[in-house]
Amino acid sequence: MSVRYGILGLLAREPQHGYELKNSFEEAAGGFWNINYGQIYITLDSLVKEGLVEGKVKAGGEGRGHNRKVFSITPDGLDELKRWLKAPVDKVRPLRDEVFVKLAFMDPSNPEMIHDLLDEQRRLYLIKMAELTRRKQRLRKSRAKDKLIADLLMDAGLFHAEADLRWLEHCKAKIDSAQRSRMNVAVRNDG
Amino acid sequence: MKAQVTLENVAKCYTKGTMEIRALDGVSIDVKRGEFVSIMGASGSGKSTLLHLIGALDRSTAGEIYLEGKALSSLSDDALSDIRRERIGFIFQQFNLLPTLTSFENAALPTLLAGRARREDRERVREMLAAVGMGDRLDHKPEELSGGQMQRVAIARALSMQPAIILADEPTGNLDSKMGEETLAILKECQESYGQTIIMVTHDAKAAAYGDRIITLKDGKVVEELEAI
Ligand SMILES: Nc1ncnc2c1ncn2[C@@H]1O[C@H](COP(=O)(O)OP(=O)(O)O)[C@@H](O)[C@H]1O
Ligand SMILES: [Mg+2]
Repeated sequence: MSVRYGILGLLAREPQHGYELKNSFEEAAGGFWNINYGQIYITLDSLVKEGLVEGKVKAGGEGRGHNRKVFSITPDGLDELKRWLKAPVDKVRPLRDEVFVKLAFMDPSNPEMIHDLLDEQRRLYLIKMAELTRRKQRLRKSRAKDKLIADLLMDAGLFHAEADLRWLEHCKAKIDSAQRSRMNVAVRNDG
Repeated sequence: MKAQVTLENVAKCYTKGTMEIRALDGVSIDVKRGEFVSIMGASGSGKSTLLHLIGALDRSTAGEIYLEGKALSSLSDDALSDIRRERIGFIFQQFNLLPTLTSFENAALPTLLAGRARREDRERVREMLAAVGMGDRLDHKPEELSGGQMQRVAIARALSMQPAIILADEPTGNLDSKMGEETLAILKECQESYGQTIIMVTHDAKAAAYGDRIITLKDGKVVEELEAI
């Protein structure tokens, strides 16, 4: 969904070739979001059909097909972009992360396996957070203009990873204590 | 390269009545000069105990700690206090500010105790307080400050001596996330510009992520160690 508005937003800044949009998009998303040319051209096609974007072949332009066209936003496209920018996002992050799915299919009688997964996942989150922090440091020292938004996007990545990490710790603590009380029950039944 | 801080199989037991608590249970860690090491772990996992031992504030029950090549167990209390004063900057969890002194006096205390009260030393204390956003609270006493502000004075105090080793216990614990980030950037700057060694204890993953290495303690043991670079 947001690829669509991302492209509208980028074209509102300046007209671009389809192949330029990939880089601009990934840069605008602070490097968090990789998209392929296919996604861009499919989205461009439907935006053109809806009259929100238009593609013009530039005289003397090189390349063939899509590659020769420079895309720009139409007045209708600008209206649609404004409408979208003003509307708050009403869904919280969906719990469809692969980790959640794996956890759902783990065998609860095998807490070792769950622990191993959670530990490995924790390592990964920590390493990702360290990488992001290093990128933030580089940005802080760089002379790039408009650092604020890129910094805030990286913060969003850090806050999300932190939330996931805290949830993992919470899972481990709860699984531990469930296991302990199961063991206590077993000991009592033996005795 | 030789490590600046080495822990060999360090244990620390506290006895409380008839109960024995193993706060640290066979911890071995090497920290290189100029390295930034984060130590994570749940509450009660032994983080503060570890920092106190490294900082020569307390002695281990077993094992050995080497600071810049010196085995701490072989040193007298006086020698340990010299090391603390000259080599180490502490940022404590409970700040440890003197209630009768102002922010400036508190932050300047280590430099005064070390007999360094020249104009440039006082200037650096002032700069450190400004860097942590306390430039306009120089004359306030601790009771007139919030927890976060006291924490920042404690940070300025630790950094004003430009110690070789900075030991920080939850330095961002009382700060909001923006101030916390600025504080960590200052610590990072200490490492990168002055080559200071930093050992920071925290349960906050966003803070730990500033370390070159992240060590996790559980029940007094190292359960994980990962290189972050
Ligand atoms: N002075 C003390 N006397 C008795 N027990 C202590 C003392 N200091 C710490 N402990 C115990 O040692 C364990 C580790 O404490 P601490 O190092 O403060 O953990 P952390 O800083 O990770 O929360 C805890 O169980 C704590 O209750
Ligand atoms: Mg503690």
